[in-house]
Amino acid sequence: MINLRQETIQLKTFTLELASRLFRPHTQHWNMIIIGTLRMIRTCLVMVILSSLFVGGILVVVFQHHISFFRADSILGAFASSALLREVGPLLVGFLLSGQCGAYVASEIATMKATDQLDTLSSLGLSDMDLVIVPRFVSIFMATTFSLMLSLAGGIVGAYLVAASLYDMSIYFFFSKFQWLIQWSSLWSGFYKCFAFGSAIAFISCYTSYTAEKSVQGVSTAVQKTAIRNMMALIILDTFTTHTFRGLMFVLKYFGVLS
Amino acid sequence: MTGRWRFSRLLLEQLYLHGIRGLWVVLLAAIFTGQVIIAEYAYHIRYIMHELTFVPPFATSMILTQFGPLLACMLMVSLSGAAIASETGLMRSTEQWDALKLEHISLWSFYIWPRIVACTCICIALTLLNMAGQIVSFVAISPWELGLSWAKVIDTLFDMCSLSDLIQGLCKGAFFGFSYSSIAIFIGAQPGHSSADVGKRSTQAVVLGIFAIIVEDFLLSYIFIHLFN
Repeated sequence: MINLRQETIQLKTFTLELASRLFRPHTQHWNMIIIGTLRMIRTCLVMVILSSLFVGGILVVVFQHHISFFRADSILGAFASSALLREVGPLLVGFLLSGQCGAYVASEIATMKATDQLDTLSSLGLSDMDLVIVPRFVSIFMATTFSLMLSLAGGIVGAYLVAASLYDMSIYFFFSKFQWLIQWSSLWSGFYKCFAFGSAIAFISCYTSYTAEKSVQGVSTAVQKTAIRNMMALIILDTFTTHTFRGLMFVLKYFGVLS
Repeated sequence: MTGRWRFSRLLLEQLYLHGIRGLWVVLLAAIFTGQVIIAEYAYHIRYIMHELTFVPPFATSMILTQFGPLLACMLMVSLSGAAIASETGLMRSTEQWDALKLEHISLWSFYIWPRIVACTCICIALTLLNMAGQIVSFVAISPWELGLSWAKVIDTLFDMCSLSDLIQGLCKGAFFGFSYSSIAIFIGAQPGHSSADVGKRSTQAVVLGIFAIIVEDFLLSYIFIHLFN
């Protein structure tokens, strides 16, 4: 009970402090943010591309089996790509990124805490929040959102490669039903999820590592906590974003903004 | 204590440690993912076939062969994969492994196999739990989501599934559990002594574990579909 109370207070303090500093002009930190973002993208790029290719491949293999019951092979490409854009792509690659970017930064910040580097900044009159947390928060957010969006494209390429190599599908046949099944809303739904997952991974990674214990054990605990909290957050957010996006589409259609 | 008894005790310890941890996490995740699966399937089937009675059997088949093992084991990677990697790393850096070797205690039977066997068994059990949780979750909301009665949904639930789908899912769970625990121990056992190394090892174990699961899922899906159909 005491832990829950302490955790709530810590969470509230951290959120307010982060929010207050996030929207202040930190022109001197832009170079740190850009370098951090590029470094993170470079770290996870290969894994993201490879895993998104395989995720696209999984969907094609499984949907081909399902669609073959109805002899509707022409919709395979559009069906797999739509599922990838709307749901599976952001979720599965988000899991990978929660480990790659989230736990990576968590271990970095928790190590800085364990080796008293954050205290040294405070003793020099510098703000650890401004110099360490805010730049990393923005970097993870930008890197994960970009990587997730990239994974959507990678997934479609992977789906096509598997469809072409395993089921002899031509590029025209694969993309023939795209316009019919994939609407702009599917793409926006995917982007909305990328944005939400990026924010969640950035926040949880920074919060968990910033509140970690100052010890070697604390570093490993912070990494484990970050990984599992990120995954649970992605699963809960996935449900939340699916329902909120559907609600938003309903409202837009109701008011005649969308046909 | 004989070797077999000691192994059984260590195995039970690991089963309890990692299994209890994963139980509630997987169950909670199953409740949420079940709802998303039905919502997304309803969107696509409504568009393609204009007939929502196909949604429950399609979704059940997908859960048994794909989402059941995949999500349960990915969650276990971050729960027990990271823990095993950091535990192994700490044991290695504090020279506990060397002490065991000096005492002529086999690392394989004392440390490595109990963890790998426990993770494999836990993944099979949690895959089953995740499948059940997801199916219950989507059946519970289907009257609102699909406009079908519970009786109708339950009646059509297993129309497109067979026992082979369940076996496929459980086999995948076993493969995933074996691979992520082996990767976690291998990465944890790499040399390195600082606190930064422990964090890096846990991160690497999570990332490579998830990547291995995605690649294995692709290969196993292809093999099983051709094997069972």
